[in-house]
Amino acid sequence: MEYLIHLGILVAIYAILGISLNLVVGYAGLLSITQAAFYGIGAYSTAILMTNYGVNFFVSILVGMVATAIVSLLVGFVLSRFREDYYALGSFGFNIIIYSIFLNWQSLTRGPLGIPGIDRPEVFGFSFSENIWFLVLVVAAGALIYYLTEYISKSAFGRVLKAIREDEQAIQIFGYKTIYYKLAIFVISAVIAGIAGAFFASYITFIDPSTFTLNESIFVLSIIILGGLANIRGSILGALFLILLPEILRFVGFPSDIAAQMRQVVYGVLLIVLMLYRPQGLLGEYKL
Amino acid sequence: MSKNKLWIIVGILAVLIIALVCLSGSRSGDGLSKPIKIGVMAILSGDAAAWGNNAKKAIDMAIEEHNAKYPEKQVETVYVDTKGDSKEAVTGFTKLTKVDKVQFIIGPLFLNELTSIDPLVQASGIPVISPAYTPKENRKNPKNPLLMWMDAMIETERIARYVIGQGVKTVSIIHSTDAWETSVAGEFKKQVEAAGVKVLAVETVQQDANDVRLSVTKLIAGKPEAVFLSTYFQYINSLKALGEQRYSGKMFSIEIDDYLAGETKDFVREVLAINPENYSSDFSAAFEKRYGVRPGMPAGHAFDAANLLLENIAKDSSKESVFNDFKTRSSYKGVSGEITFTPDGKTLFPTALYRISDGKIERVGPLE
Repeated sequence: MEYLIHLGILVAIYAILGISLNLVVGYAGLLSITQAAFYGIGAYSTAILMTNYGVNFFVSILVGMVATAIVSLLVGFVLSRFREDYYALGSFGFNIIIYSIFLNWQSLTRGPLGIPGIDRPEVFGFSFSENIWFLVLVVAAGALIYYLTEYISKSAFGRVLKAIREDEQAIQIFGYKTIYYKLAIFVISAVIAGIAGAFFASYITFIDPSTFTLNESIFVLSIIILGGLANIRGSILGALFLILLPEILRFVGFPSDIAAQMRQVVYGVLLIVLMLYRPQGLLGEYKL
Repeated sequence: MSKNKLWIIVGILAVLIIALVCLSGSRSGDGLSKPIKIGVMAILSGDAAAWGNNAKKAIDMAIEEHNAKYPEKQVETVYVDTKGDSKEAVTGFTKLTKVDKVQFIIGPLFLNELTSIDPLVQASGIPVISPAYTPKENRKNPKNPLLMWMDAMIETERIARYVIGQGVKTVSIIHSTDAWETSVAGEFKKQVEAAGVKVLAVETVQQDANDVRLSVTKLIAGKPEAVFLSTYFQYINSLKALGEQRYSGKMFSIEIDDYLAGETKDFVREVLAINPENYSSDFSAAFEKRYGVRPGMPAGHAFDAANLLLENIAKDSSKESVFNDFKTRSSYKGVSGEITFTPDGKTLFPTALYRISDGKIERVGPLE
């Protein structure tokens, strides 16, 4: 049961991350490969505040949200001027910069040694140290984010984003300042990723830069492509698939000498088959 | 995709994983002469898979020897692939302890993995022995996990003292983003600077970079008298680039194995490195006979870790007994030599200075 709860927590955290990226890639059509950076800023803010200054998790998550909002505003301002491939490249570069900061600003982040001993959340004397309670907390946060993003996607703001995705110049003719819309969704997305990072740091109780590499951004991108772009439920389904599938393969009785490699091969083949069968993802309404 | 189809997919996934977890748990539930289960956390895929597979081979050897010697205390291993990743390590540890219900654990192999599972180790009370180094600030209990790897800070202090003793006045340092390598580089810099040696450059390169020429150019731009290679993962590329740029100063390093020595045969004049004393020749010969290759860096340490645990199990396989042994143990004689465990959680191996040239590693003398 404990193992399933653990997987449930990971699925919930990655679903939040997936939802956050889907807002930018799925709804606004901006290919961003930088989600791990914001995920990391949220995680590091929480870890530093909790371990160095004894700040409560719920306060540090708020500070983390503000920190990610400020950074994403600055980055988004630059990225909003780019389109398509250039946007992807710019976001790619930003992920590398943030990773390097985590790695090299050793007086703050402890570099590759990471930050250990991050506490679990506590509120009014109640600690979420039991995994089951942590699962409840992260699922509750996920549900809140789900409804918030569903609301955004169905609002007038969401419709403008979709229009930007389909034809940015056309919507500009109608007087919409698309740069503000792109910037706003980028910041919202980053803040949500920061929340996922805070949960991750508190759950694993240790973070180091290796968690926030470009590979992680690509993994989150895979979640939304598999689950379906421009569909919030697709992000949840994608997270469920990509977290659970490799775990299921742990139980397949391959000989121990080749088990790890076979697991990777089967996992890869299944993803390829799935993408051949459903190129728009499981629930997608838009293709990159 | 229709809603019904979606729920069918989610349902199948959920049922599948619950069924597998339940089946896996029930397999270990009954039977009178059930073997003792040991979980092994190793990096079996990804960038550092060669490291993990080397350790796995040695652990397999130790388990086979034990099972042949003690038929009444058979041991069964359950492997989990941690990929060198914190999250995967936590998942692996949870699976081993909650699903496979192992009694003991060997591993993990990397600092970040060990730190991330440390709170779980403390909560579970399962004895863990790990062929890895992790600073004591990252661990709550200095003796569980019991570390079977030379304390990197002390090993660095020894090689730094040697470099200072050689009269080197300027040095540059290169290392990868790996946590162990970064710790070693930082400590080396601290030690040599305290002795008045000027550090001209410290270059950090990606663990899996294919080309480090630019970093090496910067490394030797100030013409340092010596270069310290604080890297296992980028040792070959660094030396290749140093060779191409005809660097003629002294070169020092930490922990080099036969593989690295062989791979750098064509472009290395001479590197002086600190290593744990050679593995016993019996172990090296047995390993080579079985696998057709010489044991790499982690093999002897992993073999010793497995044997220390298995020797305990042979005496008394209760967790408490093994746990007490870890707590009180001050030394162990393994294939890597006489290993010392200090009360504050440091692990010391006998070390020596080695000369690496022409693809061979030659022992120069002890370096304590």
